[in-house]
Amino acid sequence: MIDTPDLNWAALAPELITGGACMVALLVGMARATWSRVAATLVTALALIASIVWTIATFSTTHYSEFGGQLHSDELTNVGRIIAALCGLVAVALAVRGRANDGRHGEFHALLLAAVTGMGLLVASSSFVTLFIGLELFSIALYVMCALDAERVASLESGLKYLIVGGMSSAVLLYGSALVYGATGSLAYADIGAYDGNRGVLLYAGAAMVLGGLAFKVSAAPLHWWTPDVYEGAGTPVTAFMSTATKAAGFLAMARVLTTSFVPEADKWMPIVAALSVASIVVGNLAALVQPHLKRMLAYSSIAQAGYLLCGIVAWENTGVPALVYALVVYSAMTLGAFAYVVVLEREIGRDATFADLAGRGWIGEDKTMLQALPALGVSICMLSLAGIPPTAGFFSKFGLFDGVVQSGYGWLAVVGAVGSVISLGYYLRVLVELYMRAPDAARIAAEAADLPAPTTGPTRPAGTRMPVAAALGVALAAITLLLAFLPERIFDAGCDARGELVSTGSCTQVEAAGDAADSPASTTAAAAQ
Amino acid sequence: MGDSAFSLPTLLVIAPAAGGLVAMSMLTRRAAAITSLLTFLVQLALLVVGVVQLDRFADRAGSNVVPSCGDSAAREGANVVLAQCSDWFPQWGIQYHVSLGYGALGLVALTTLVTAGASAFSWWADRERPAAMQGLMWITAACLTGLFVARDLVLFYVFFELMLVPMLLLVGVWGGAQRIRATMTMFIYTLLGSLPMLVGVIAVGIAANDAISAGGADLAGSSTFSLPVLSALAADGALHLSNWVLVAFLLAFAIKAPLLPFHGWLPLAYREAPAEVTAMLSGLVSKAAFFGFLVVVLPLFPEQLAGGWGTALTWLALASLVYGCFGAFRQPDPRGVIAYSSLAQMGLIVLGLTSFTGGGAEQGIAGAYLQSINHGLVSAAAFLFVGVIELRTGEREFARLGFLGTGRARLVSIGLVIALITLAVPGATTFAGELLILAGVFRGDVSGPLVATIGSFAVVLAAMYALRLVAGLVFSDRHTTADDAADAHARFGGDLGVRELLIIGPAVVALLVLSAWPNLLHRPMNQPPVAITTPADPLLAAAAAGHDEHESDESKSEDTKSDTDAPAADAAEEQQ
Repeated sequence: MIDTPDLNWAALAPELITGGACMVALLVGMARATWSRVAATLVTALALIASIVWTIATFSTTHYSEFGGQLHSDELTNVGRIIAALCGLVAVALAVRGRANDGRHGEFHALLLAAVTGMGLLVASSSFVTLFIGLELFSIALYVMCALDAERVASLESGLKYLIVGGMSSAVLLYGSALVYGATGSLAYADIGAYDGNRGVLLYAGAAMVLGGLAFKVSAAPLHWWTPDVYEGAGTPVTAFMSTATKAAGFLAMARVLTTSFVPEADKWMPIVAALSVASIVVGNLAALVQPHLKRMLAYSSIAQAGYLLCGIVAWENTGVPALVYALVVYSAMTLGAFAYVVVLEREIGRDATFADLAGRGWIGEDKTMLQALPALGVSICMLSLAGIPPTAGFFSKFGLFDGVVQSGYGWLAVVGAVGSVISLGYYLRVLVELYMRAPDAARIAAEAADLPAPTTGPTRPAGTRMPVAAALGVALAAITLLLAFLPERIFDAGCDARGELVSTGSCTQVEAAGDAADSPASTTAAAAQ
Repeated sequence: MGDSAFSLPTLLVIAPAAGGLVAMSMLTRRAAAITSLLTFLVQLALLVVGVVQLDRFADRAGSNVVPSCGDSAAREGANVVLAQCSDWFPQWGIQYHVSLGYGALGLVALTTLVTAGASAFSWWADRERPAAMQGLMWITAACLTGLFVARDLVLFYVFFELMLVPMLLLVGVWGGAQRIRATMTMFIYTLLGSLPMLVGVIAVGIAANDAISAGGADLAGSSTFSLPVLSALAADGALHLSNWVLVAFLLAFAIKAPLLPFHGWLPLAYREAPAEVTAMLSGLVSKAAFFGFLVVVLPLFPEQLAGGWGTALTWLALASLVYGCFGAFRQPDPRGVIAYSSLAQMGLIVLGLTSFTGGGAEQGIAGAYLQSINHGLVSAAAFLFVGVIELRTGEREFARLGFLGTGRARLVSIGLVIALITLAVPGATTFAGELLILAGVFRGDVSGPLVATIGSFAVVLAAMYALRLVAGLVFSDRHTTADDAADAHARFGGDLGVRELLIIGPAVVALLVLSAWPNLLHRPMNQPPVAITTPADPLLAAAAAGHDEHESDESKSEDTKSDTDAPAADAAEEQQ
């Protein structure tokens, strides 16, 4: 008699919804009728919304060791699921009317849903088996999505490059988990963390390879070199999704693995993560300074942001993980807002956008009403937020991350981060400078107009009457970036609770006790115990 | 646990911010100007309410404050009109904590007056995109007001940084030929100072956390970033901050002021920005640095400043004063003169602050406060005055200007008043300020007679550049080399009209009123926003009073209480 584990499908419900919808979207997409594109979009959007609603409704429900110890669903998992699904939803909206899914809408939407499913599985994993399955599920979907804009050579190059180097990183991660298994005889995070035998070189090597594999996915330097080419080549909605959801899932998985499986080795991996952080901040910021293309700039900016986010992992013993969760939400909102504007711009000019294309677009003019000047304002807010200028949420996310590392005794890392932020202004502000302070180069535009006789989008609408979906979305995301600075508590608490379950020391409650008068019994006891 | 009502300091921030946003969305120049005017009037009305409220509560020490957000007992009977406090990021101990004292009131009034002058100037000068320009000016004013009323270190930092964004756009969009270079230089210089300051702010929060948990329950529940609490902790010697934290703060404020080795952004920004924006930069934005020195550096780092760091700051300020005076004398253009004189004046103001230990503290700091208001008014008036000349003649250098005063009585009068107040003739309010500063510095522990002597010589140098400025423009053509100075004279047209007088006039009138009656700022001068050695500010007085009371209670009951009782009592207090 085979002993089957008790399967708790509720722990996997969001993935089941998106995974099921993935098949439906593929089938719907096969229909060659005109409605199929709309239908595929609707199926995807509805599935993502359903998954988000389910996750929010069961937000505080926790499932431990489901599916034979393979899955672990708690608030941290749910935050990851929600971020992935929301980023997916934004990508779907950005791709509406776009070229990214022209004629391949079935594939585009099915792959997007597969990727969201994989990310959900990744953040819910509690063993290296599910970690790898989740990782591969979303990675393979993303390889294809990058190459989906097949008319452009850059897109094919992007997909191929991502496939080869991504496959290599997956292999490294797989080999690392094999070594960990060899050292401890277990694949479950909790069992590995609890293993009290010889935690020697074999385990160190395995842990380092696992960390390397995940660092590759979140594009932390020095494992970042694939990022600019892949981001530039992929269709912009895909890039937007890839740069936000992948990072959120990767960072949450990294936080989970490192703070459950490798707690005894923390004094060894913390300096390594700090070094990765410094490398990402330096490389990302310096390289972004000299990029003429917006998408490349945003790619390097995402490397630098990964450096800041790594600070949250370094500070895991203090408030690092809650700060990381908050920073991931904020990072997703502001990065998606920036990409939304790139989508708007690309449709308007019909090619990859450079800084020069931004010139003078911020102002209301003869051909621009106030409504049409709003997207430029939105992207400006997103840029200021990425740079960490208060009172945008980007400032508070940096505040939380730096606060964590200073508390953990890595004050120098916060200084590096602050200097990196100064450098980053060189390129984030360049967007504002181009939008508001330079006049468009009339001669160049005339020359290009002669080269490109036909506009790539449909018939031009009368000026100032409508706003494309992507532009409206960019404005909304900028507004969210501002709002997040004032409504942080729920998100922060989510990270806090999840963090409390991950490891035994409850740093969050200590901070609450110091920060505010005691409402919760936990902090009272903490204070009384002192 | 926030206050439900909007308090006066909050309204003082919201009014210009809302006015600015509305002005920005106006479609015509006239509508924008009317919005600006309305904003100015609303702000004036709010300030009058503030004066009335402060006078009403002046005798009832401590009744008009909210010492800390968590402390509900102290909030009983508190005046919600003058202070407001609510949690913002409780996890990190960040609060929205604002209050209006006399000190802040004076600086907010200065901000309102100068911003109104600057936005009126931009309307008169008929700038491109007038709505956006005037809107951004009022938003800058809102940020400055927020900075002056903020009683939370993070809130202070938020306004300190946020102010940069509208300033950046004002210089970058409406500036001269090299505007983008000027913008980037200014922005990167400033952020090079303020982002390390962010790390410093975090370090202060962590140190305060330690101090609060070590200090028992009397401060439990207080924000770790509340400036009054931090000042009280530092005054008790409970706040242990390392030197690099001080350096981070000093650097940020020294760049913003600017002081001597950090003034690289100043000449370019002051020359490239439009005249009215320069007036705001030198008149108002530099005061943010003064305020930072006053409410952050002096109260939080008393030990370090009493040692070598205070001496270093003193000599830095003195060097800025001397260098600025000589620099101003050598500039080829009027704007350069005022720019370097601003450097000198900021040096003098900071010098006044360095008298914080020793017998001259009260005089020195009161003088620095008075001089900040004076400098804000006089430099704004001077930049607007020069701006009018630049716009009318189209010339920006002494070499092409001269004898503009001939036949223009109003121009001569205004120019002469500005010059005389700049050079601090006895009787002028600037003379009162400088006298107080030098008297304070003379008796200061870290400054002393030598510094005061050098400083007083440097003050005399002000006469050279102030006279050169007004003489070069109005009276003589000693510097004029070109033949077409006569053209410039002709192009200037008639004497200053009503509109120009209305733009420059208010600041000049305010200076004359202050000269006749420097006691007008008596109370603000004696009650700096956060006191240094004695808690003269009602806010801090209350915080310190609560603190002291508790301590004395403890010492009284020490005999009766056993040691084991204390932690239990603390826990009980927390549970309430």
